[in-house]
Amino acid sequence: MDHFTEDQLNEYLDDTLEVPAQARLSAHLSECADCRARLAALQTVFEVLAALPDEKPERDLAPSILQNLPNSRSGLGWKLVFAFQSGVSLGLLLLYAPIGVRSTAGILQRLIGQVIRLEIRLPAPIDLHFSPPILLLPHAFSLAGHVPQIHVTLPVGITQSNIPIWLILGIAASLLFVIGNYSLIFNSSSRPKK
Amino acid sequence: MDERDLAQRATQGDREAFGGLVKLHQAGVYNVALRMLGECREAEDAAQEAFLRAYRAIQTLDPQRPPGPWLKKITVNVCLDWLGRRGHLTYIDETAIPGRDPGPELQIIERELDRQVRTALLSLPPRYRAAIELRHFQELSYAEMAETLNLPLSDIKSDLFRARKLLAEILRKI
Ligand SMILES: [Zn+2]
Repeated sequence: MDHFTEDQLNEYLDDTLEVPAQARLSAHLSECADCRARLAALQTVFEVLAALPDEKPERDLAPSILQNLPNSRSGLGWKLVFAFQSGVSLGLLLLYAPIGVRSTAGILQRLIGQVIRLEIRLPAPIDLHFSPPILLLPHAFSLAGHVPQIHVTLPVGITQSNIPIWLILGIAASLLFVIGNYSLIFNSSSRPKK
Repeated sequence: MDERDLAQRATQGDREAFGGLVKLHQAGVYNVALRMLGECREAEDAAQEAFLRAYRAIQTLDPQRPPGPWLKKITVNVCLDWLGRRGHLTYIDETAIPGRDPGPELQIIERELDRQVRTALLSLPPRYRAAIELRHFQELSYAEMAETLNLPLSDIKSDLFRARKLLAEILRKI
């Protein structure tokens, strides 16, 4: 059999070879003095490194390290602010969703002049059905499944005429949500300076 | 309070808990820096920088796992950055490598060998040094090393194997 390659010698000592390869090389070692010598030389490196003792630090580093930490509980503070912002905007978005669906359906209806039936299939047993006439009712948004039956009613005071305001609010809420989440992620990721 | 509690509280932004981790791990972190940089003062500064970096990145610490390895991996990267800034030139001040007061004769001989091993390590290029540190002192797998240094596995292996070859040559002369 061939001699060990340099890589094989290393991986043999690191114990990262597959079992058959390991066994083959073990067998080869028993009959090849040349490879035994090369292995021994490499093994010396392992032993010498393993024997190197740790040094004791000359002084306690903790006080100066702690003194130099940034005074940033503000990091946590900002996180709370952004979490709050994300929460509020998500709430607004949920509030906006029925209007968004309704007005989109309404616009489409006006454009092509016929009733549009929107059907979103979720994994059974929940099916979600929208159809514009239903969306125009107070029970604007209904999640009618076989088992659960949930009705989300629009907030009071929303009429066809103030939908633009709600659209603007919706867009604002989306923006807030994106900014809030972006800041949350950005703030918590590690960005070591220097 | 045990280490896991400290780590848990540190990830929630508790400075005092982080201080507890510093006390527990400063010696380990200092020794990583000392092997990588060779000089006591510089190792102290690097340890400080490593803890600072760890504090900033505390969210990446998994409190379920021991924080020691995490801190040491950060330290290796801090040292590599420092060595990079020094333009890959390593200044070896042999007198700066720690030596204890003269003791029994055997101890002196042992200390001399330790010093030579440290000098040999410092003669390696920074990346090779990091490979030796992570594999032999921190006992990481090749894959963990690759992740720590953000290098492909093939580079990790070739760095490590070359580093060992160089060390073997130096040690043969000792
Ligand atoms: Zn052979």
